[in-house]
Amino acid sequence: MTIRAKLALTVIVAMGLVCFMALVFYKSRALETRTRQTLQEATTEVALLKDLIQNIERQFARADYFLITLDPKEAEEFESLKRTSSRKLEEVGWVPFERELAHAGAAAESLFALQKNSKTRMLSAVMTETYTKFTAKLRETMREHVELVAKQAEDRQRRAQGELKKFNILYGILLVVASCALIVLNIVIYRSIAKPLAALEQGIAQLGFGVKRGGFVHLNSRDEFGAVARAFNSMIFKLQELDKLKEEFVASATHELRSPLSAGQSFVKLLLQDMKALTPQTKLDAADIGRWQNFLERLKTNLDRLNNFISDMLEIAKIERGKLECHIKETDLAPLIEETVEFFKQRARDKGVLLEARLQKELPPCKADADRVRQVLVNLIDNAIKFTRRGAQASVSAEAADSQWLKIAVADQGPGLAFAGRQKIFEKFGQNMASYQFAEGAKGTGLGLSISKAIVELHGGKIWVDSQPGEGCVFSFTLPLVT
Amino acid sequence: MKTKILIVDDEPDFRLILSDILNRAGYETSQAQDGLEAVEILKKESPHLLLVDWNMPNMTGPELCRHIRQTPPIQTLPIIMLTVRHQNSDHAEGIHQGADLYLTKPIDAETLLIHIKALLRRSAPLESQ
Repeated sequence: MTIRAKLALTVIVAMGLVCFMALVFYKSRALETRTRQTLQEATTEVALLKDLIQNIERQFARADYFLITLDPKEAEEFESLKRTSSRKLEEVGWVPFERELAHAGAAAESLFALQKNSKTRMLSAVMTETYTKFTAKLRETMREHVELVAKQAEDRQRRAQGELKKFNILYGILLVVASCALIVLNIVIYRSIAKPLAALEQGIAQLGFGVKRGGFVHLNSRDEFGAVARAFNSMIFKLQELDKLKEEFVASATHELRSPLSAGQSFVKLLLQDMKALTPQTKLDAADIGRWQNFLERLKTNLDRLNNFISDMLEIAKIERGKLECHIKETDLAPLIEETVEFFKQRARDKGVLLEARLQKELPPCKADADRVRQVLVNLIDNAIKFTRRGAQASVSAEAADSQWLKIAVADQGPGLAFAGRQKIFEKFGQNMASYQFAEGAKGTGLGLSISKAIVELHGGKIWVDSQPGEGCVFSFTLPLVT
Repeated sequence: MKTKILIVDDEPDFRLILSDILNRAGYETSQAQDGLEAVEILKKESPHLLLVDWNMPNMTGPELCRHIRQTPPIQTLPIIMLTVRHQNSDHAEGIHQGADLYLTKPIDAETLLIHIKALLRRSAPLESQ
């Protein structure tokens, strides 16, 4: 799963949890309010009831006093309290002792009525008994009821509080679970990021010690970090390849500098040794003179070779910095080609190679730098002569390939190139590879073709080689025609 | 009888220089420009020691050494490999393929002659075997 997906998932889960918690929170608030309401209602109910009962007690206390004092004022108090009781009774609503209250009240009022009338005073004893029985019953019922209601209220309270407690516990558990889930997700994401980052950092640090030390990162995850690791590893591969190329280049260059220098030194040494052995009496013969001439010639050749190589290296350096100069003008190349071929004819003859030029009649002019084109021609013809077998033929041809390009080709009859060589040969030192078959003495600087390629491409043209092993090579390049 | 040394190197300048140095020191020399030519010469001549380059067309130095070590009549020929290749791995490979000594170019004449003398001391001329 990609990091992006994991992060998205965490955000979704977190938001989900937040919504859920909010919901639960609101629910708990509602529950709490309801619970409180319930508690309050219960308390009020009980209070009201107790108030009523208290009033009723006071009411009948008056009646009791009346029985003792026979004071009509007590009877009046009774009436007033009775009205209060009725009112309070309305507030309370229903009570189970309404009937008993009514009876007791009626009994009390009968007593009052009887006492008022002196004739009926004697009957009040019986009424008193009834009254006492009814009030006792009333008190009992009231007590029972109050107890019941109080207990019910208590129960309801306890239940409500219990529910609230349960809900709060549930809420607490959910909170813990949600926190754990978020912590786990965060750890997962952190590890998805922190571990790969640490591995990458290690790889980069390792690479900092040098390309050869590597620093490959082995992250097989299929997320963004896996992709980065793969890109990083392939970068290291490329860097190592470049490093190897650089080393090969340095080794080749060192060799090309050392060899002619060392050979030249040796020839000088040999010459000196011979000179030291000379006395004015020494007789020189043709062999000695020939020998020394040979040594000096070889010395010169090696020095030239060294010089050419250094020049080529400087050209390559210029090319790589993009500073190769080409002064492109409208040029007729036909005379230039003929001249160059003429220049090489002697050398070709010395090697027993037939060198020919085949130019299209009325060769159209090109947009080119004559000196640079000569440089390319010299390089190619030089190679052709070097690689052609004794007794065989090398040729230079030039013609208009189409309306835009002039094509010049140099063909040799040498060993030819295998397929792999056809691209590599234009690279620096591309010819110094073990896969090539060299003809005798055919060591160039290895840079010539690379420089030729740069020159041709600066003109906007292309250079390539066609070859079959055993059948020689044809090096061709194109230059833009004047349109 | 003069000790004969076969010089195998694809660079004519180098063959010339080596043969001159060896001739002055009293050795007889012959030359081959690659391993293949050396094998042909070995069929006809009996040099006492070989100086062999590494990079050569047709048959490289190590290949030549291996060939010689596998060919009974010339198996024990002393061979000095003389090359520009200076890596330790090349040195090991050269000895592994059969060279008795591995020297790097450029080398000064005195050092080379000393090594040749030491190697020849170890081996008798082929004729007397």
